[in-house]
Amino acid sequence: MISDKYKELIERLSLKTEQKQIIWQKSSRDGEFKLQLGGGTLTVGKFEGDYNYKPSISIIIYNDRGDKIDAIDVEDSMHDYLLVDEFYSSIRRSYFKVDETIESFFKELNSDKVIGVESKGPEDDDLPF
Amino acid sequence: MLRKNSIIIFIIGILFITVIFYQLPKNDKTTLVYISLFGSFLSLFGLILAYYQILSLKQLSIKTEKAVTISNQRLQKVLSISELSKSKKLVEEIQHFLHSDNFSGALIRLTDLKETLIQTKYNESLEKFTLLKAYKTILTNTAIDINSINSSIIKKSCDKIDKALIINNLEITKSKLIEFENELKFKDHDIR
Repeated sequence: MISDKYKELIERLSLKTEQKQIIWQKSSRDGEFKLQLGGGTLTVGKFEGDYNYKPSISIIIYNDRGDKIDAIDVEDSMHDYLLVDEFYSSIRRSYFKVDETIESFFKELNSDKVIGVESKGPEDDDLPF
Repeated sequence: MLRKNSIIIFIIGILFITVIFYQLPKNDKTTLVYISLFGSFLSLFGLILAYYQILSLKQLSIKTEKAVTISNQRLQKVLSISELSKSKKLVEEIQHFLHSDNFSGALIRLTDLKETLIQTKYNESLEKFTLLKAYKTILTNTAIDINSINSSIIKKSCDKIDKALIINNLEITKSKLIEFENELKFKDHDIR
């Protein structure tokens, strides 16, 4: 069970992420993203659990001196996992610009032009003489 | 100079009381009166001399204090430069540990680096750099990298670390440290 303060933080960050008003960066751990703010930094990552291999999402807060001041781990068996997982997904989608990429696909699909790139056959690689 | 002035004032004073003594009525021109005048002059002279001595001691103490401050600043500067050079070596060592997949070694050295970066934050000569957002980013990135390596060691899954990103972060840190070192080496910071 995560605290109300964290729930509010997650909800507000999710909203801002969906509005594309947050710049998330990649952290040095695979599957982890970071957000640097004036008073500190927050990381959100999805990993395999410590003792079992079930996924868990961790949120870590660092102060401006780089000290880890708080952390929460939400495992998939926990009540609030769905909320945190959706939050993590929104960060991932925002960082990799998933929505923008799909939108660009739609744009191409809506045009009358032929889409896609033709692969060159081996004969095209022949020398021009 | 003070001694020469004192002797001149003393001689002028004796001449002055002698003149006063000869101006006195004939009945008062006794040895006792002269001794009394001389004694009064000596007391006054002593007081003035003591006052000048105190002033000169005060000036000497201010000069000494200034000299001590300057030498402390110089010492601080030398120590800071040496700390920064050490940190540069630490960065190179961490990069080497990461290239050879020695994550425990990298973790120990990264912790040392973070300590040095925090120390540097309190160096007044480098305030114009350490108060910038870029410096906070370096500090936080170091902390996050420590956490990433630590978690990977605990979970025995070192392959999940983005080594390239950590090495890149270290390179940025190294550039910053070189900048600090040059700032201290080639620019004066209130050491006059």
